[in-house]
Amino acid sequence: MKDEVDPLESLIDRALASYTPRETRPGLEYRILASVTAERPFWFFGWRPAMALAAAALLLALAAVPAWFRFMQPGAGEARHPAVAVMEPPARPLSESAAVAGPAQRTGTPAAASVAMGTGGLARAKLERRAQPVSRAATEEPIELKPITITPIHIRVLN
Amino acid sequence: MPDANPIQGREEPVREEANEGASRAGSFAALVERHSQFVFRIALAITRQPSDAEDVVQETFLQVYRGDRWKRIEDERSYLAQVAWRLAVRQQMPRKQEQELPLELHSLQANPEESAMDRQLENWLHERIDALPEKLRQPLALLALGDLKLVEIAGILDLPEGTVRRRVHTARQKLRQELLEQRRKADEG
Repeated sequence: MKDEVDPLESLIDRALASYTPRETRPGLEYRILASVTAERPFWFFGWRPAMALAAAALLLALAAVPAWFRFMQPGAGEARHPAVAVMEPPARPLSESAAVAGPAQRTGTPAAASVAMGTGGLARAKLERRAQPVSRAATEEPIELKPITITPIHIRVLN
Repeated sequence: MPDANPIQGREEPVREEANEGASRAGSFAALVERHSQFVFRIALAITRQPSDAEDVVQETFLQVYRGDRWKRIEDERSYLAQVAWRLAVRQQMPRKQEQELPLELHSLQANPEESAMDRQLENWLHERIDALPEKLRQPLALLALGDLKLVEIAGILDLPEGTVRRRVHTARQKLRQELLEQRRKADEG
């Protein structure tokens, strides 16, 4: 005698059979292999390239150590950084100074302001005296060279 | 007579290494070829989203590839299924449980065996399966793949075989009750 098939069980079976579709994803294998290849580490290529890379890194490190000590020795900076002369703005003739009196006036320099306002000869003479080019050697003491430590570079802005 | 090509001797290890690399890559590709669709279906049974399932497949094979695990696998199918299942469960979005879904029961008549199960009824049942608690749905979905035996599913879920069988039975009973309930409502209506 043949067993009766429960219709509800049959319905459930059919629903379950289609619950997870059997359709495949085209190109899935290629995408998997591509992602594996993208993540492939260097040791995938064998131990010899890895050893060569490690040896090269070691040699580089060994070569860098003496250079580092040389760099860190006191006084080493002198050879590399010769004395830096202090730069000063070149002297300007009066007429040029007067030409920039506008900005000077804005900054509040009294002499420049007086020139700009056209005040008389005394102020002008003072300005001209100041504007004379002066020999550095005559006015300043010789530059003393000191061992340079690493300090921030000050840049003096002209004008 | 001296060797005509003195470098020839040195080429051998390099060639062997290249061959080893090629065979290694080739055998992994073969593993992917053999099982990727199977792993995809397991992932899809859990995640229910093809894009999520594909992510799971990729991650599964990456994990297997890392550390050369794939070379030491004894049972490829079970191992891959287990990894895929674990990743898929982690990837799975939280689903709304026990949602009430409407069904127009024109197809669920007094004699359901006589009526063809149309797309709507099938979808309704799929949604009812989705709404099952995970501990019931997962063994049922894995069994529904048709590729796995109960003992394999038990291995994947790390449960005794009897527990898996009981859960599958309980899941089917729940679906059956819901179908009967719907039929009763249809008869009353």
